[in-house]
Formats: sequence, C-alpha cells, structure tokens
Amino acid sequence: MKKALIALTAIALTVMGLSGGGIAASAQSNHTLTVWLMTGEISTPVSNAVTAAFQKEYPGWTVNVEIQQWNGIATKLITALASTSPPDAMEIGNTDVAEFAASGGLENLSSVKSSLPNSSNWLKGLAGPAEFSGGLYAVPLLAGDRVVSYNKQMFKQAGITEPPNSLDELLTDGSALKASFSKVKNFSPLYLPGEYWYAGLPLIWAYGGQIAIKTGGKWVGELTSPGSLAGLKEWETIQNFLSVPASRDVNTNAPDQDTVLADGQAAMIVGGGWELGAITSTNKKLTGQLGTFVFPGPKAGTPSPVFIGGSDIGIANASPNKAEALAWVKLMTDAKYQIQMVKADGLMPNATSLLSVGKSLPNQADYYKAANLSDFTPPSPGWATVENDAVMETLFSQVAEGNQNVAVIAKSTDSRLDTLLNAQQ
Amino acid sequence: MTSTMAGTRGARQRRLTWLWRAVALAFVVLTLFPVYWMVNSSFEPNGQITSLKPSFFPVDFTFHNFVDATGRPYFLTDLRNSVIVVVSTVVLVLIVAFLAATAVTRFRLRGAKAFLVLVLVVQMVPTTALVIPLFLILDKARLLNSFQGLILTYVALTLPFTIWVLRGFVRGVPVDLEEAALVDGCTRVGAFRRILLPLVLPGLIATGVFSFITAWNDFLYADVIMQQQSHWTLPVWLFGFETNTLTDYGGLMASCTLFALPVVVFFLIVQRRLVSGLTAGAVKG
Amino acid sequence: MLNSARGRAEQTSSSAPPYRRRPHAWRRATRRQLLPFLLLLPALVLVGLVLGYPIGQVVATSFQQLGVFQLLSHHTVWNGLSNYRTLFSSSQFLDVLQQTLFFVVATVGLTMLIGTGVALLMGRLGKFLRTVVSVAMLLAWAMPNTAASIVWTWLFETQYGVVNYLLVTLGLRGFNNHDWFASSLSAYGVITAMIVWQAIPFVALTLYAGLTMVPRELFEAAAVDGASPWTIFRRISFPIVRPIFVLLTVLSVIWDSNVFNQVWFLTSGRAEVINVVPLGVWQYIEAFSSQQYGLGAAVAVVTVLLLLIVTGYYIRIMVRTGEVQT
Repeated sequence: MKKALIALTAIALTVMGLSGGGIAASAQSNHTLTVWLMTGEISTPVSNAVTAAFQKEYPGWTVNVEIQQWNGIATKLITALASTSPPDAMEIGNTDVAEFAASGGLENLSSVKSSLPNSSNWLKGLAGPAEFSGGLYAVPLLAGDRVVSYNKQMFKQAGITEPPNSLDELLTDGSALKASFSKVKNFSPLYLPGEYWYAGLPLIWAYGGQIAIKTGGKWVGELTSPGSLAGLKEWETIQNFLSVPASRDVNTNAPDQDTVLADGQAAMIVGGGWELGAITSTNKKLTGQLGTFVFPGPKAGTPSPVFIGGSDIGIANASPNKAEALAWVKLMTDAKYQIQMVKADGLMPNATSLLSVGKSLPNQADYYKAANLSDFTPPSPGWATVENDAVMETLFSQVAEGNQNVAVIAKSTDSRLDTLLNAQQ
Repeated sequence: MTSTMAGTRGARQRRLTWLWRAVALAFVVLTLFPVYWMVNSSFEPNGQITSLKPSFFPVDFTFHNFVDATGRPYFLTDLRNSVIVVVSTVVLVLIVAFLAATAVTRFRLRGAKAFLVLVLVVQMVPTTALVIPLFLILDKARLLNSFQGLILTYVALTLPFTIWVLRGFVRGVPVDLEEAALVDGCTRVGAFRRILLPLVLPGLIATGVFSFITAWNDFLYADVIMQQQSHWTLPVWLFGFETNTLTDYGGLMASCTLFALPVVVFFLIVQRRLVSGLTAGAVKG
Repeated sequence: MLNSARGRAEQTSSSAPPYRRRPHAWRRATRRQLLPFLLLLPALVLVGLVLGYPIGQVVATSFQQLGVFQLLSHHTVWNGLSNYRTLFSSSQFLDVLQQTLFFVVATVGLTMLIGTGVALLMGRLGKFLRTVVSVAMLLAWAMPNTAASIVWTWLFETQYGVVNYLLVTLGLRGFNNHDWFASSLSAYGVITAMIVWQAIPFVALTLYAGLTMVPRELFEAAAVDGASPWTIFRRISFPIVRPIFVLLTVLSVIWDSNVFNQVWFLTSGRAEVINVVPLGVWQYIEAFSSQQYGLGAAVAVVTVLLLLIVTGYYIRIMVRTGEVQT
C-alpha cells in the first residue's frame, strides 16, 4: 500500500514535470498557422485541399486546423482572443459574429475587401453581421437554410398532387392530411415545434415585418409593427392548426422532429438538408419518399423569405500571421474551394453568384431556391445575448400557446430587444 | 424467559433484515434507472433511441455505436489525457490535503482557523466567475494548453472540500495511537504515515473518488484551457457528437458508458478500504 | 457507556502536547510551529497561487464595467458600485433569493436525509448487497453530466417520455402528454430529483465511512442494554459523525446554491418563462449571457457574502476546536 502510494506520487510528479503537454504555441511566428473550424461542417479533405494550395504560396508553412465544439464556443473564442497567443483565423457562427466584430478582437478587413473573392455578392445574412461601424471584421464562409420536407406517400394518400404554393393552400392540405390520417394518434400534418424560431421568422418577414430596425443609431424592436403582428398571428394559426398541442412549448429536439416524421407521426417538418439522411436512416422505407418545397408565403407563388444560417471566418487582431491568415481565408472562400465544400459536405456557399452550383445537386434544389429570397437577424453585437437568453424561442412559443394576446407578447419582447440590442458592449 | 425473548428477537431481526434488503433493492433500481437508460441506448441504433415508443430493451441490439465512438479521431489520445490529468490530480490532492488536515488538527498552528475559513470561502465562489481570470493567469504563466495548467486548476479547485472532509476524519482518530508510537521512538511524521494514514483511509477514498469524478467530468475548464484537439480531455471530446445541426445520441451514449467505466473500476478496487481499519468492521458485515 | 463516545470525541480535540515554559521559549514556539507550517505549505501555495489572483480579480472586476470589448482591448473601466446597484435594484432579486432558499432547503434536506438513511442501511446489509448499493450509487454519481442531463430530459419528455409512459401504463391517464416543465413547482420537482440523485452518493459513502469508525464495543453494549436501533443512532452513531454531517450539510448548501447547468438544460432555456430562476440561473441571465463579466463578478461576490451569512454560524462552530454543540 505504502509502496503503491509512493510509486503513484512519483509517477504523478514525473508526468507533471515531463509532460509533453508543453507550453502554449508561441506568439512569435514560427511559420505555423492555426485555424479554428467548427465541428460537423467543413471536412478534413476540403480543409486539406485549401492548405495544400496555401502551401504552394507559402512553402515551409504548416497549417494546424483545430476543430472546435459548439458547446461553450463563445467563451472559448473570447478567452482565446484575450490570450497572448490567439489562433490566427477562426470560424464564427453568423449570429455571433456581430458581437466579435464590435469587440476589437478581430482584424478590420475593409481595406482588402475588394480583393476578397465574390465580396460584391456575399449572402447578406452572412456579410451583414460582419460589418460594424463601417469596418468589415469577418469573411462569409458557409451557409445553410431550411425548407419543408414532406412524406410523398402521405401526400398521395391524402390526395395532394402538388406541394402548396401559398399559406392558405398549406392549411387546406393540412385539413386533407388530418382527414386522411385521423386514425393516427397525435398526428400533425406539419410538426412545428413552438420554439422553432428559424421556422417562425420567415412568417414575420413574409408579412413585411422585422425583428428590429436601427433608426438614428439605436435599435428599436419592431415586433409590434402591423407586418410583424400579422406574421405572428399567422404563426399562431398555422402552428395550432397543423401541429399537436403538446408541441407548443418545445423545440426540435424534444422529441426529435426527424423521428416524428420518420415514425409517421407527421407528414411534414421544416428542416435542413442535413436532416434528410437522419430521417431515412431511422426509417429505411422512406428512402426516396421524401420531397421538399420552399415554405410558402401569403401570396401564391412567392415563398416566405428564408432564414440564412451559417458562419463567417475572422482573423485575430493579435495574430502575428495576419497576412498568411488572410491568404488562407482567401483560398477557403475562393469559388473553387467553396464548390468543393458544397459537394463534399452538403453546405451552401457564401455568395449568390455561387448559388448556381445548386443546379447540379437535384435533391438540394429547393434549398438553393429558398436562398434567393432570404433575410437575417439584426446584426447587432447584442444579438448574441438575445440568443443566449432564448428570447426568440420564448416569443414564438408564447404566441403558439396563446395564453396572452399576441400584441402583448410582442410588446414585452420589443422592450427586451430594445435593452439587449442596444446594450453597451 | 431469555430463550423466548431471544427467539422473538431473532424472528424480528430476520424480518428486519428482509425489510432492509427490500429497501436496498428498491433504492438500487431507482438510482440505476437513468444509468440503465444510458447503457440501453448505447446498444440501440439512433432511430430506436429517439423512437416515440420507449424501448426498455435494445430490440435492434448493435455494437455500432461503440465501434463508431471509439473510431472517432482523438478518442484514445483524449482518453489518455483524461487519465493522466485526473490521476495526477487525485494523487496530488490527497497528499496535499492529508498533510494540511494533519497540520490543522494535530497541532496548535497559528492561523489554522483562518486558513480553514478562507479555504471554505474559496469553495463558495461560483466556478463560472473564475474561468476568465484563471485563464488569464495561466496565460501569463505560460501554462495554457498544458497538462500542468489543467492539473493545477483541478487540484486548486478540489483541495478545499478535501481538506475539510479529511480534517473531519483525522479528528475522528484518537491521538493515543500516535502518541503510543511516539513513545516507541517514532517521529511525528512517521506516526502520521504509519498510524494515522491507514486509519483515515476511508476518508481518503471518499474524497479521492469525489476529486476523481469532479476532474473526470469537467468540461468548462478543460475546454477553455486546452487549445488543441490532441490535448483535450474526454468531456470536451464528447461534445463532438453534438454538432450545430444534429446530435448522434447513440455515439454519445456509448461514449458516456465507456467514459464512466474507469471510475467504476477504480472504485471497485478501493471500495473494500472504505471501511475503517480503526474498528475493523465495527458495523455489521 | 453512552457517555464514552462523547468523551472520546472531546479527547481528540486537544491534540497537541501541553506547552511548557522554558528559556528561549519563543524559539521553541517557532520551531514547534515549523513542522505544521511545512505540512500546510503545499496547500497554501496551491490554493493561494492558483486561486488567489483569480479571486482577487473577481472582487476587483465587480467594481468594473467589463464586457468583451474592454476585455479584448485591455481597457479597465471602473464604475464603482454601479454593478451592485444594478443587481439590487433588479425586480427579480428578492424572488431569486426566495427561490434559491426553498430550492436549497429541498435539495440539501433530501440529500442529507436520504444520504444518512442509505449510510445506515449499508451498515445493516450483507457484504454483497452493500457492494451492490455502493456501486449503484457510484454509477449514478459518475455518470457524465452530458449523458445525465440528456437522459433526464428524455425521461420527462412531454410527448414520448418514459415517465409519462410508465405512469399512463399504471393507469394514471392524466399523465398522457403531461408537461413536467409547464409550471415552476413541477419543474423544480424534477430538477431537485436530479440534483439529489447525483448528490446522495457522496453523502452516503462519506457518512458510511465515518460510521465505520464507531467502536464496535459501543454497539454491542447498547444492544445488550436493549437499546432500539433509533436510540443507538441518536445517542451513539450520530454524535460521533455529527461533525462530518454538519460539514457535508454546509458543503451541500454551498454547492446547491450555485447550480446552473442542470437547471438550464432541463428547462431547455425556458427557465425565465416558467420562473425557475435560482441564483445560478440569475447569474447567467444577468451577466454571462450578455458577456458582462463585471456584473457576473458582482453576483459572485454577493453569492459568497450570502453563503457566509447563512453558514457562518456553523462554520464558526466547526472551526473552533471542540465539537458541534447540540
């Protein structure tokens, strides 16, 4: 026992002394570039290709691509930027970018903007948040959006020959589905979780509303405007009619909405291209049976503007390798590697001029179609707090639950937004 | 008269014994239910895990989740890192805390009380508030991204309660035993090592397990201090199953099941010593 | 017989040999202090060096406005008591305190009650069953937080959760699609259950370890005297483990007051909506979700002060050499 203890102590101290854990990468440039990318997005083959091209321009340089977890990423990025040796380039979610743009931790790229590939037609949802006070602090990197996925067999059974073209048609189709599947317990024609604000925002935009508008340098909540209120009311109607009551105060994970569709408890869900694979692997019988259509709007033929999600990539101000980092970023956002990324990883590119690649990807056509009409969240540094505090989830689920007047909910959310979006960073 | 009394008491004892066993079993079932659910899910394919009808038994039993999990990049590396960091932490904490506990208990050390109170106050500070200042000081000391930095952090964070609990156990051991050793010519420190240490072993085990689990399960500090995937500990690696878009529940549950195993093994090895040598099984059994 | 237990405990409190007057007494005194000081030194150094600066920073930061911008541009902006004023003028503050109080009483109370019960139970079981119980508790304790939170969410899911499923199968139809997180009370119930579930193991195992230090002769003598198990516990076992019991209670109060992760995860971010806002959640909403580290530091300072007020009496007692008074 005693001997074991001594041995263990010796081992522990030796490990501490000799551990190869080593010291942090030196802030002095030693021809190593560190790039942080987020997990589950750009795959290694793609980033390796970019690195290979980079090394042709900068021979003798090593590129370390470190994959980061989403959990706690904001703290991770903030501490990294505050340290003496931050990573040189970092991928940042587009809804978080504004906060970092305003922080002073990222390099201002406005002087080189014109030399960045496709900078004239970047997707607004990605570029908007990267701009702050006239400067450009990050480069759009990749995008994603959501459309309606539906069970083709169920539509056939309900006698629906074509996907709905307008919100009214959507409701009519819903009735048909309800009638057809009245025997199925807890059936939702369109399973629409009440907290699913990515699906709710398009309705606000479709009716001409907006979350918040910047007037005279100050952000003002716009949810009580006629357009926004109309959109919110439509959300309540659609959610309540097409989705089971138990779904009003949950998000897409509890239960997992892909499973709801896969198990035949719903005929439609709103989701991203990445969810199709999950659905068919859960229920093999649905392979080839899933169709998509863009979420319709109030006017026939005009869809609701879609919410563009995605990431930008920024360069740390304290990095000693800013020029090299910029070169790597230029390559990653170059048309050639953007297309490679699209084909390999199922992501969407960062510019409207590149959206044409969607034509070569038939089962992704609707995602690209939707991207043509998009909008984005207020590019305010305070938006990160809005997300951290789940303000949007609360707004849409409260409207769906209908315990209060829509106008009342909108007003209280507006005052919340007024505070948060204008908060001093 | 004594025989009948003994007879009825015997019968009552037997009924009580069965009662205790029943209670124990009920407790075990309730305690283990979430764990059983985790293990159950790790043997099911993803579709069945999130299935709308709860499945109590893996109908589509599969090892796929385990294969997938262990095959993911950096699994073994990060597992190794976790083991190194946590074992070092536990060993250091127990040694330092034991020394400190004897210092404040077996001597009239000036400032001992202040030290104890300060250390307890340290425990009261919410760990979330400490992350950024701790990060900055490690950065200045060039200990970021290193095992040493993380080990020092875990040791500092688990020392407070370990010292206090060990203090309680040291106080429970009568001084006579050490004083007898002193009379026999032993040094003070020798007495601590030979007499006191074995007798507070139960306390060391309880706090050892606690430090182990605390360090083993930490995400916050490991995530912020370690900058490279090859330096991650397992909890950070675990979040790879949750991307921005999807969560691979099967892989996650399988990894978590594997992750909990070393703790169980460690405990099974030491749990026999949870009983004090002082009274050599005073409590029945 | 029953008094000797107390006697033994009191004996351990006077642990140092008596002080004797000698010439150069001060030098002897210093030398006498040297060994214990050296023994204490590693702990002092580790806690002091590693945590001293961060804690000092927290206090200093509580008087600053520290957001991401100030942090990254290394600007120090002092704003006096402004952070504290913001906190105390918050309309939520009193409600948060009240919620935390009830929550901590519930979690700590249940943990100590059940934990003690299990510790006693373990003493009455055979070796095999005792090992089973300790391993079961260990598994619950060691279950990674990620998995635990996810599984508990699944168990109490509204539409397809196992708990609702089991309850409905048992005939309680009302639990079909029962939303456990619809009301503050119900949500707190589930959260308390989860916290207590993971907190019992440490208390039970430590108390059991402490109970094994009770001398066998005391039990045997009491049994001969015909004492009931309850009397044995009350007058023999408990007085001996009372110091550890009090310590575990204080530690549990400290830990449970700061709980955040489980609450936030189980309520899937709806904590504010259903008004489940204990101290840890409030700290997040007020400060960390908006990256206001100055405010966060102020909450931390207030938390420590509050905990000191609540546990101060017991800390004083624990620290004074001598056992806890009845």
